[in-house]
Amino acid sequence: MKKTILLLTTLCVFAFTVKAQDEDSGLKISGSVDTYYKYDFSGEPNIETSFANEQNSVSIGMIDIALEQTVGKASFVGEIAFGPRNAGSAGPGASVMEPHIQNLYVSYAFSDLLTLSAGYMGTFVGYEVISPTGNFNYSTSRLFTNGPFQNAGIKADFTISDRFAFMVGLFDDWNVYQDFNGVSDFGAQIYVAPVEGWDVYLNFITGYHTQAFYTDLAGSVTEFDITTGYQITDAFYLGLNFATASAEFEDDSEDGFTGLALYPQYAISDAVAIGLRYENFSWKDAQSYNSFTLSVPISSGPLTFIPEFRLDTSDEDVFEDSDLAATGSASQVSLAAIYAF
Amino acid sequence: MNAKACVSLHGPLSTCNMLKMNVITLLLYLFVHVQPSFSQEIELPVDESGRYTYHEVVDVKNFDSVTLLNNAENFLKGYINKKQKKTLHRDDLKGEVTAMSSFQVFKKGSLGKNVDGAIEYSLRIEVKDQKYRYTLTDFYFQEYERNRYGKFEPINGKVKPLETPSSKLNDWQWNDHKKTVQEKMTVLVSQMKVDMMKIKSGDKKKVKVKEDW
Repeated sequence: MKKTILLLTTLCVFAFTVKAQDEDSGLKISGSVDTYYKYDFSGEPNIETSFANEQNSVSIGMIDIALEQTVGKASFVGEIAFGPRNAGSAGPGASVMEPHIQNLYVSYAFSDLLTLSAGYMGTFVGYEVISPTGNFNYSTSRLFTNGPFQNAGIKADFTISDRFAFMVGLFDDWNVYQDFNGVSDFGAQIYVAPVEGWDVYLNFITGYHTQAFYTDLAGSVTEFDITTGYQITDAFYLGLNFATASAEFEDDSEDGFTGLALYPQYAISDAVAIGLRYENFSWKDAQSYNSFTLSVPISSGPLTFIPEFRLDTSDEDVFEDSDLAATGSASQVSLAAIYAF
Repeated sequence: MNAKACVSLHGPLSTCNMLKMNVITLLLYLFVHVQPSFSQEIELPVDESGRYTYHEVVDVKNFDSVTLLNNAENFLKGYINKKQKKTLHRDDLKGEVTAMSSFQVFKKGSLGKNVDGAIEYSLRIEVKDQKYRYTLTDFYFQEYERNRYGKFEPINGKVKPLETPSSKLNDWQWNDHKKTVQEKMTVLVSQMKVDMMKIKSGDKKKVKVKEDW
């Protein structure tokens, strides 16, 4: 019996090895490290969006390591990160030194039309992402901060053509490895490319969460999101993100937000670009914000410096000035260095 | 200015903050202006209009145009991948076979083979009796990026001609892509020259007759 199992195992390993030599089985290793200096002109950290909040300090973001392999129709991605930026994406109470999974999933392409993926994946909702290499600006928007970061689940991607695709999936609560109230979210995405260079994503996610909307209350959460970007000329790109989200908690209270962000960006050369992010963001029945972020990424191969200036204003005095008095605006400068490998 | 003094100052116009800004400005200046040169400039062949083009007339005695056209078609069928097959076009009247092809180029110095983009280009083989000529041109760089799911994919609309000059800061990476083009085209041309003579004019399928039938 033991011999039979050994033989079968040997045959299996041998068969796989022979097959693998015929196909593109290259294991890709990629990732990034980032560090930054930030100074809020009030002398206190004031702008509360995700990551890079440490005041007047040369601080670190995270080290992010991703493995990816595709063999035939099967593929996997495993991405793990360490550091404050990673902890910020893991939610309140996460340790800075604790690793956190950014992506961990397997996919199988049944055909050019259909791919099934299961595991823990970067969210399909929104414009900005956790990895600093995926964003133009170093600081993040409120739309990003208050939407999902990751969605664990199973999804089916249907690629009808280069110009049209859609996805449907069942997901856990936002940003968790395990769903204690069962797989309760339904998500869908429609992708359209009306002309070359223009991507439009319509995203929808709804479900019942044990900790809805980053609170300790259970409730149902729904978010609708439009993320689009158009490379209008070789140098000029315009991005847009609109989202509206609502939560109905089990104690019958409600919350929600609506926001719009614009991302005009101009490439001065292949090494230097300049871009503005304008965001208008409103909490349901509470304060609203206008935010202007001017970034000038300068890159040489894998290394990018991002000098950035940001001004946030609110209709309520939610910030502090240098005398610690409540005020309606806050501004900061930062310089980030990001190395992608 | 000692460290303690820096900590105690908060105002935006303090001397300490000015000093920090100056250090940041200096670092940025050094980053932009002090760049080592990593590799030799790669010169690819250009045509009259300045486009990178590989072009050559090859004499092949004892090959008629039909045989050469068949060989050209067979070569391109074997060379381009499954998705590019629809770009393969044979024109018997003009005596030419054309196709589009591409290959990935990688980030220089990356740990794994991380895709920086793809080079797309066109291939044309024209034939006459006793000779053929090939033209490899229209080289474009399609930029890739790692998406939110950790996979490298093309960015819609980020395509530029390979002739586009790169900035000083990214010259070494751009030059590396041109070096890859040079190497790939050299291999392609030698393979083409072998395959264009694979089946000779007048070659017929040989039928094996078994003795013990």
